Amino acid sequence: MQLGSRDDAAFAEFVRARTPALLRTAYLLTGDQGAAEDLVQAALVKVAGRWARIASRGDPEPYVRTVLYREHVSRWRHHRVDEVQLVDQELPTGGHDDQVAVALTLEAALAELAPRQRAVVVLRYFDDLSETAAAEALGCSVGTVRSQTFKAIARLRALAPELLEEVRS
Amino acid sequence: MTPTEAPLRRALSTMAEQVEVVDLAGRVDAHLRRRRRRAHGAALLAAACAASVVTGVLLQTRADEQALPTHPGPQLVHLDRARLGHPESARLVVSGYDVGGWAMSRDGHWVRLASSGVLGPCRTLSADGRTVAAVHPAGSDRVEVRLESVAGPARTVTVAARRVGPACWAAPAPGGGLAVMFDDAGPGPGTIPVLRLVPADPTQAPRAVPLAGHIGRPFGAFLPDGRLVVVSGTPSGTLGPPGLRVGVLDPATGQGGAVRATDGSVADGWAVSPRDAQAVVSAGLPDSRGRRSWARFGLDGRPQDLGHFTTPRTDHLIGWSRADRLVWFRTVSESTGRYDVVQTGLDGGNPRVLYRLSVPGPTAWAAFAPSTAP
Repeated sequence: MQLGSRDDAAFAEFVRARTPALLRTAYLLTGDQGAAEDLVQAALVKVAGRWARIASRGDPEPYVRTVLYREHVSRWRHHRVDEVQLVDQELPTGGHDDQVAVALTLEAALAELAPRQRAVVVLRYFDDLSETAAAEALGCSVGTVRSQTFKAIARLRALAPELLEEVRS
Repeated sequence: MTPTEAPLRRALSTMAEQVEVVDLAGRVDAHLRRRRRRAHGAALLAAACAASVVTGVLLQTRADEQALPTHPGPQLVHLDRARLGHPESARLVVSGYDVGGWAMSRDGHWVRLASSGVLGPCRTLSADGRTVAAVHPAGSDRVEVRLESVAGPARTVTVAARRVGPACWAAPAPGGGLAVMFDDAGPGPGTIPVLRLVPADPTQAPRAVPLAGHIGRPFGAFLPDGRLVVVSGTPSGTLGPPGLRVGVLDPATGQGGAVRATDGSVADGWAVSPRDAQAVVSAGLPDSRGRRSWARFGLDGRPQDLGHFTTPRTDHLIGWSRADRLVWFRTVSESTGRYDVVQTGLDGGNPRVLYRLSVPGPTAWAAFAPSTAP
């Protein structure tokens, strides 16, 4: 990156180092390579102008991820009609025991969740955030995260029960 | 009972690993520079001469866009033992409507086909993976078949026909000949389609073989023993009862044509075994889950139906590897030119992404050919 100041250099280093991880999260949120790249790029562009302030508070990644998640939900609101069409999709059948088949099943199941439900699944079970941290990332209450998680898990269990093992409590 | 999310966590990790990591630094930087220059231009605009600054901003923006990273093009991938599960090499050919064709050589390097820009969507890869045949209507009474060699010059063969449909098909034959399928030779729809067998010797005239038992627009492929598999599909309510028809023809004699009709609609892809007389025909459109159905046939003697199967979400069947795996093509994101090549067993089991491709522009066609050596 052709950036001049020290902050710009630090931002460039963050982009270089953390793009792979951000892309993985964005891919889980969008299910599409191109959309994931666009989402990460949009989040990075948004935080670039405030980088000095963001970095002065410590690790900037949580803030960037917050922007990423909120941008994802915001984009869904903007393109709501396109997303609604996904509800009609059905899942690929199971029966293939390798990991790719499971990932394909998950991909189809995630496409059936509302964007905020999908986001809480990624936040809680991929990023391993607590309910409180997930609520901060999404800009909502802990109760909302809890209810969205409950609904998302119930939907996933109905769509792809193999993704959730039943254990005796 | 309460659910545990361990499988969900594992599946999320697996799915996340499927993303292709790209360097976004250049894109972010170019975006920021454009924004800064626009802001700078706006300030100047407010302070001084509006027209000249607008011109400057436009010119600078255009220069920035030129500085954006160009599309990386087809990535280098190796079809080797580790990927295919068999000690073989293979060829994969991918091409787009606008950007032409790309072929991958046995050592895994991409080669741009010499004049691929003129290739239409109606293309066939030879069984040895060396030649692409593309058909162009050339007037009302003939077609041109352009034969693009992966490693050599192209040549054009012109074949006469009384009538050429909007789509037809040609396949390079073992030994240098050519098989070309015409819509039909009769006065109207529903008549028998005709195959023209073009000898390798240009002084010999093509031989016409009416394909009794087929209707519609057949296509096919050569078996390792030189016989030609012919597949025709008839959708419901068109030229006859719906179903797929599979026949085998001996090009030397024009004899054969044993046909078996199956359920299904229009066939959209096929693959033949590189080792024995078997073929797989992919039928019709994907279902609402994005899955394709296909039928497998044994072709020793009279065609035998060996079963019907479905595959995970795929777009096109493109080949049959020496390890008895079917190779499929799947669009990940057309807007960014990302595609998967997926391998499954002959029954659709054990799907595995062989590799993820980047191809400039939307792809129109892809094909796979295993090596000719056993």
